[in-house]
Amino acid sequence: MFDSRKVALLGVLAALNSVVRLLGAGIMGMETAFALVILAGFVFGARFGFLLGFVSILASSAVTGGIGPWLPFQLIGAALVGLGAGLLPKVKTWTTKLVTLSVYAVLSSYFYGIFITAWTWPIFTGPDTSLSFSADLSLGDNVGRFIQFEVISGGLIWDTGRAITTVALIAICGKALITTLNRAATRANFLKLS
Amino acid sequence: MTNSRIKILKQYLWLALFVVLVRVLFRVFFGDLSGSAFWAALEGGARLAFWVIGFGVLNAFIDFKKVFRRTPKIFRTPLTALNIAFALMPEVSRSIERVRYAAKLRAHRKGLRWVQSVVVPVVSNGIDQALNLGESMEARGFGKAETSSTETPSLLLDNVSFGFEGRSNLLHNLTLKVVPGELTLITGNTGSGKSTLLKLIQAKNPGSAYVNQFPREGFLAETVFDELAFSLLQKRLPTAEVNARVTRTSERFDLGSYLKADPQTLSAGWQQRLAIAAALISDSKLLLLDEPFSALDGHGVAKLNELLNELKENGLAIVVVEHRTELLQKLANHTFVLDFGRLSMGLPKVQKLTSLPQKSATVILGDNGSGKTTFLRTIATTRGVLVPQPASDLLFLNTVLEELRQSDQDAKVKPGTTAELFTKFVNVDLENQNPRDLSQGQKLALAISIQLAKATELLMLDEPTLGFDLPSRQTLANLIGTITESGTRVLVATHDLEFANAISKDIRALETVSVTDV
Repeated sequence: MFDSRKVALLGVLAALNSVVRLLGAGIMGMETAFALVILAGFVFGARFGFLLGFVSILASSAVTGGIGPWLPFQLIGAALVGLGAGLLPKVKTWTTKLVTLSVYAVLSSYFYGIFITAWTWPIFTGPDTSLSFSADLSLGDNVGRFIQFEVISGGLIWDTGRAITTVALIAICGKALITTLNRAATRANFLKLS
Repeated sequence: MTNSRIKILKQYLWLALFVVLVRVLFRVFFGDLSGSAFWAALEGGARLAFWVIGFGVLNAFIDFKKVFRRTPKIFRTPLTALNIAFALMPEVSRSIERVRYAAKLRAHRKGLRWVQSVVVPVVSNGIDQALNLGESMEARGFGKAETSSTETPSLLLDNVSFGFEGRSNLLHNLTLKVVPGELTLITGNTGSGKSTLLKLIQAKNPGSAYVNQFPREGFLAETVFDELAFSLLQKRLPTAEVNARVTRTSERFDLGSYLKADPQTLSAGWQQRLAIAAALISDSKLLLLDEPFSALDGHGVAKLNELLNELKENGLAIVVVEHRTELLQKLANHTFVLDFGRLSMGLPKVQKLTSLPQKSATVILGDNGSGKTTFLRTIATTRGVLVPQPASDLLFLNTVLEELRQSDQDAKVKPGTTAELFTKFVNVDLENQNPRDLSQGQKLALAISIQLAKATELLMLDEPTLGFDLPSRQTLANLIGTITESGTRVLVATHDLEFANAISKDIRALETVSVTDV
């Protein structure tokens, strides 16, 4: 159970992510929201990051009418991205922090893409094409088909776009945002009187 | 609603079509091309499309926001956060719009720099709001066991000392008693620990009603009704009782006609009223108010005084922390001054703003929400520079020094120009500080320096004294004096009459001026 300030922070940041996601819908919408999930997860820890990813997607989906069988994949995908950010090593200097976060941003962008594609792959291809999942084939062959599908469906381009925007946002706003989030963390503790 | 239903349905129809097309295309390019296989693909696609349309109908006709609004019993953290997110989305959009405008006021940036100048202030504003919101939730019983007490505590503090870890004590051996039906006023200079004292009283007296300095930032619901109900829902009261109590309270506070309104869109006076009503809904007998007058205009001040008087007559014990003591002189039964961590009885001498010797600024006077901001924005499209409210919307870099250098670059002036202005206004060395750590007055001074570096003939300030205490207002008045002396015209839009009188002989009511007059 979080204290009230963490819950409020979760709500406000999720609102921010949803609005940004709505504003940017169509032009790499989701991607801009990724940076904040990663940065907040990094500062406030894995649990916060997980919940922020989860609540952000749920809030924007409920508002835009995006509830469907794909939602659990988006929810868990974004939540895991935030969770992973919270588990990153707590490095000291700014350069190492930003480098660590950027590397993680690239990895998690592709991870999220693969996670979502794993769901769309059998649906878009249907059975019996040379790209389809087939239970008769070996794991290696299926992975090969999966990668072909990723390339052909344009998923990789999309993921790369996501990686670039997230890294760019972390590179230019990361330092200021981490400072701001850290201030919030200390102020939240500071304001608590018992 | 119907409009968005149609929009959602349309989206899903396109998605369904897209799915069929994709299925068929994959079959055509990567499968065998016999006729029957083609039809099989089409049939599979159609079946998928059927599901897609099904979910479209579901989304169009079910308001999922309502589904998630049920009183959370499990998953309380994410569901509460989710509902806060729903409620604050419009507010966040407004904040983004405001900051985008502020960014444009400062300089026409492009690309990543522009992104930075918007993202950083928006997130910082959000975090400040979240901290105030968390405080308001805590005061209204979030995450606490049953703490409602409907008896008036008489001894609020009994020989209590307090300090933050690693610092010397801020408050020493304080004892404070109250009587039902009486108002206790506590005053003291900025930084004397007034607000801390009030929080301490709140912590020591569980069940007391507490409203902090920024009622607007303590709202978390989409409607006034839900805002009032929050504290009752935390106690898991049955729906019928919640409804009955919300109705009763809304009648008592004249909020009946606003029950469906968004709390964020009410005027400052009504927001203050709502915050007090929401805090008192659990029938608390002790009301604690932190600087309740700071955002109110003349009309709001009168209404709040009326309300406090009524509450006193109903037998509430009220403690108010306020630096503008003159506003409560009639209502206060006891006045204490907090100085160096000790409380002493008696009124401080009434402090007033000292007028400038040369009152050459122009003031546009208007109540909150009367259109002052729009007025200034209109002028700013053709001439002058504008410092928006809040001025911190302009600041986005990590240190004061970076802000000053960026400003020189933006204004294309020789390095050091902005810094020179800034040191003229603020005579402490702040260059390595984070702009967001500065005091309100220092932030405003920095924003003014940045805008003035553009060598303008007209400086416009939007509600510059909002949330300022007396010393900061005095400093600002003097600063405006310095600027007018150097030959720049200053135009201030405010509701603060005392401040207006201190800086200007040329005070005009908003309704009587047109953009071309000033």
